[in-house]
Amino acid sequence: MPDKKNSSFITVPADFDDDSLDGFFHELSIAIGDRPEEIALDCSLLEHATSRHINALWDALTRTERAGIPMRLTSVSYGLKRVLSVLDLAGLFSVDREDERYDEAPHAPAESRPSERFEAEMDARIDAVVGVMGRLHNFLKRRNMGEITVFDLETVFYEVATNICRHSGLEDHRKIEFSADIGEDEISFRFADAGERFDPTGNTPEFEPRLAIRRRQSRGIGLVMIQRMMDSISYERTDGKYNVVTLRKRLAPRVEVVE
Amino acid sequence: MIARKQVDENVIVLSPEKVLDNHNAHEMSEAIIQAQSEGCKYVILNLSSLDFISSAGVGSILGSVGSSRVMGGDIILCHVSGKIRHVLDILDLCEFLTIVQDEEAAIGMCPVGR
Repeated sequence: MPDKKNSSFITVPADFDDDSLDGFFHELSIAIGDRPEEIALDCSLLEHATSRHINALWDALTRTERAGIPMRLTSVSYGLKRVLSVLDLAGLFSVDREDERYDEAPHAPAESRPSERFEAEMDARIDAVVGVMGRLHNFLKRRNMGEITVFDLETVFYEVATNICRHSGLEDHRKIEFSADIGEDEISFRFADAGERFDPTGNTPEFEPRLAIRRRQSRGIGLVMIQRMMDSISYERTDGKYNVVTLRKRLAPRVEVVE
Repeated sequence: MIARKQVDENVIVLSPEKVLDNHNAHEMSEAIIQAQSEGCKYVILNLSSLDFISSAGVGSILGSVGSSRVMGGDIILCHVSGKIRHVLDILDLCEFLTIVQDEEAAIGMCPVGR
């Protein structure tokens, strides 16, 4: 979207502690006082959106609307879009369609890591998982994988990570480490956490659709999805305190396009 | 948020938004249970906006199909996208669930006004 001539840009900070929150709203107040044609909030630093971010965006929207100045969000990650959607807020915010700048976030420059590797560390909270899922989506999308393959991988990421959040006994602020490596003909995911022992391969329930419907089964479905969407899954407990889950999926051979 | 559209005393259409996951799967379960408690034997799930479904989302639907059928009704899925159908296929659920093309076809399967 081309920028308007008289726009004010404000970067939304990644960590919203009290100081940065005050600083953000101070900048916003100055911008409102300048009476620009619009105010654009750059969300490129938001790896994931917490309730504090959402509340701040909502507050900012209220203030700009009260001042009669349009506000839009730029460089919005897939994860943030999803959080807004889940909270039924997506329609309230004007959001730029393209979020190309998101992949150039200064804390994770593309050139500093191997092009076929994705790494992330996330809090053991579901909203943090959704945020990383957005970045993973961008990473996978750029590697010419089929739509269903990307969907499977995102789904598996979500299911494994949320399982860890729910079953590892980790407090919200404890971390889950994640990496994805793309090889010649396969992709592997690795999850590591220092929670209670939880082996997703050890207790996979039988899943029989007719019985599942009759018994109103709502548990264990995620593990079945993970196993069927990936080609292998393994678990190890390392150093007596880390859960490490590794999953692999074969990829279709790459096709080179000759122009 | 799940939109509700009452078609008939026996039939309701529920339309979830883009995502049905751990955040909002309970809302889907509650919406279906509420509709059933109001006497709706047939619950049509219009999935035209749905872009992502997690295991919790699948569970919220599976958990209520049995009870609908016990009432003599059903849960009918319509406007199921390729991705969502893929998840149902992965779980071998397609042949056990009632899935139709669109809302009109779904309503046509229900005894509306009869």
